[in-house]
Amino acid sequence: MDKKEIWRKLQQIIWEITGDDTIAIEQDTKLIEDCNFDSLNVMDMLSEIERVFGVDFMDLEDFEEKFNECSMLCDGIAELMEIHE
Amino acid sequence: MEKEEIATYAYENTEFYKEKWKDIMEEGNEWTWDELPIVSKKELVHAGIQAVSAEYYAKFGRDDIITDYTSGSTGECMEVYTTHKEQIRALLSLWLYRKKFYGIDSTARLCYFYTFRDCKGDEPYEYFKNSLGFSKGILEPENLQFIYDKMKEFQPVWLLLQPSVAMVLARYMLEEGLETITSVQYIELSGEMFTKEQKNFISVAFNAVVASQYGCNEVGTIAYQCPHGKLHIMDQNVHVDIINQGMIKEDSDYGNIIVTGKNNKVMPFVKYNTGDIGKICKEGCKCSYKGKVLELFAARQNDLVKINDEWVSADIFKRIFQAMEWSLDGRIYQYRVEQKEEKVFAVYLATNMEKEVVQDCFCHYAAETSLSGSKFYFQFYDYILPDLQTGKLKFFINDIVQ
Repeated sequence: MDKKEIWRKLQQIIWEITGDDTIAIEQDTKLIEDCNFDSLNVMDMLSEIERVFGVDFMDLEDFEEKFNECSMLCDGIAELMEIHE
Repeated sequence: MEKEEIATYAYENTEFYKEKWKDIMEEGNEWTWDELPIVSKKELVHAGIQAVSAEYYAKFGRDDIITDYTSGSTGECMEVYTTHKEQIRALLSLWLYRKKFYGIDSTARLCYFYTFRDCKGDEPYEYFKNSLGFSKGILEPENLQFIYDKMKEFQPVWLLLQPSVAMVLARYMLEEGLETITSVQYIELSGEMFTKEQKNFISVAFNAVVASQYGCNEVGTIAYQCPHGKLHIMDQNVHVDIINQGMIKEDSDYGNIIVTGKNNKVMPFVKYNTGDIGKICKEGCKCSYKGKVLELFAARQNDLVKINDEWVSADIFKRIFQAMEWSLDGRIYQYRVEQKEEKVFAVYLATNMEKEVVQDCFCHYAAETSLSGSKFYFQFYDYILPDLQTGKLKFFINDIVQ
């Protein structure tokens, strides 16, 4: 799966969590500041990412630094998928 | 942030740490972690705004800054400031391990209890997203059936409880012959120390897995129990030092648990004395979690008993009750001891055994310790409930001023 596909799926997940597919999800979107994510939203999103991409966030170093900004999250998923391949 | 980074940040951005470390971190000085002195709660309470990072001063009064409070169980309640993002970051690793170890994710229905300070209205219970919270104010014997019925109706998958609350509910269910709430798969205990016997009792009563979460409002989760029963330090969230007589102990010696929060820049906690005692165990764990194993001592640093002009740990009472549990047929569900004078103690017990049997057994084991010659006044209750203000049940209180 290339990064474009990862990004497309990640946007889909975020829209599902927010319940609003009209909001703009860009690379520099911050989930807490821009999408008003609380801890449950973040966990819902991480669980869904793990399910959709078949990855485990515990394998990602410094995951707690990478969950908020979409570009870092996307890079993190790509890194995890490489680990799992 | 790593511990040295957060220390540097704290020094450069807070008046409190700047003043406290000025001789160590002056420009040009090379410093080591060991040189930094321990910070007490008293110091931070008195520091007030000076313990807050200047970077965040302008954000106070807006939604960006969250205020939380310590429980006040030490007698001092402290305001703790953080941001939503920092709070979430601090919770992340705990959530991920809950899911990994026990299959609990954010969609799982949850029941919990809150204190007066945490509740948002006068309601005895509140629903929020997929959770049902009960006020500790309704945790009275006459309300237990109501609580049980509401929980059963809600069908939670997990419970987040203090051990004293879990014991009250567990006992009620067993004594009334109520069926277990079959939806409950997992119970997380936090906020108070508890014994293995209490943990097993709760597990049997609810027919659920029980795990311990150790932490504090200042830094969040410090350690979390894996399915093998080991309490692992949450390295992503906190750095732990065990300090005994001024020296950092790595080698299975008990000492004061000193923590440095890695996620809170608003109000940094660097080498903060939790008031608890513990040790880092040399032996690893069979589980996949690499975090070091922490073992807690039952009593806190200030849980001291005055005996023969000396101050000894209140753990002495835990050992007496443990001996009683092993030698008697019945159960001691809860206990609390209060030292009134040097050789005078009030002992409060919730038990299913004959009062005289319990009293005699207690006095027998106490006579074998340095408590020999002391007077004990016993009072028996159906339940010993947590303090309404702090939300916690302390097993030992000393009325003698140190």
